[in-house]
Amino acid sequence: MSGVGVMLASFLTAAVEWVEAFTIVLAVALAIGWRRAGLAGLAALALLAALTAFGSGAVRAIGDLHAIQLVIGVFLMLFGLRWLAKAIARGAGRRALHDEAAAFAALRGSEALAETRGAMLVAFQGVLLEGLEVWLIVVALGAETGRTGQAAVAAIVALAVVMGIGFALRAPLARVPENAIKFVVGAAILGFGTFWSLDALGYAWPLGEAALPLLMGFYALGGLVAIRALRAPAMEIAR
Amino acid sequence: MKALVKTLFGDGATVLCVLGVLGFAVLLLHSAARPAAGVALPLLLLGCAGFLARR
Repeated sequence: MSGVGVMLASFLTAAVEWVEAFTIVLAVALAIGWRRAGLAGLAALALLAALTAFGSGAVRAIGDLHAIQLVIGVFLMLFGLRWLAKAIARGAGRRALHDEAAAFAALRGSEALAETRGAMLVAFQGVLLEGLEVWLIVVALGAETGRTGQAAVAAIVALAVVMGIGFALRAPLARVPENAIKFVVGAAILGFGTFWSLDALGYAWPLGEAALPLLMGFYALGGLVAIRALRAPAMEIAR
Repeated sequence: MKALVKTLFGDGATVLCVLGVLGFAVLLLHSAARPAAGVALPLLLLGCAGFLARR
């Protein structure tokens, strides 16, 4: 698989997660100041960087390539299925679209931000939890393709882009087409997971690696059909 | 901790769907219908995505 594909998947996944992390850090910064909020966010990023290094090393240390491939495939299927299902539900109007401005307003009104230490913990946990999905994708795609460095660079570039725009606007990045990105990334990651899981179980894909883009296309097209089929105009939208 | 587990693995229904599909794939790979695994697995996973979206 090309480095461009790995970098694109990592960049898009990271961009979605960093937007949500920025919303949390922004809300905390407005409550306790940028320095403390930034420190908490940086501490979480440092932990994620250490986890990435540890994760890649641990995967290499296992040695059994088929076992690694199967575990990575299962994790990617879990991740991709979750994102694709969520994007289908939102696209079909069965779930409300994620509203970054509403999430920001809710956090601003939260009692957790009233005290400095509690607010720093909110920023730390927020960045860590949003970043864990980025970590999972970077380690999984990187370990399977031998491109952990490129995947990590793509995630860092996404962080720089989101933070740059966020600092310039000083507002939640509510216009990012989060659901469209989740749909595309969900279909792509589910494709990776399916391909590597069956490969690890000993299945020989008839078209070899060329089956990978076909799988991604199948999930994307099938997802669009599912959105049409599940669309229910008069349905009450659950959050 | 709960948030951490949910972030890494997803909810119970997603885990059951993936493990169920994977179990079916293993059975298929050990049967005469082995060549169909490459079609059956994606179809089942897409069905799971539709099911999970519909909940």
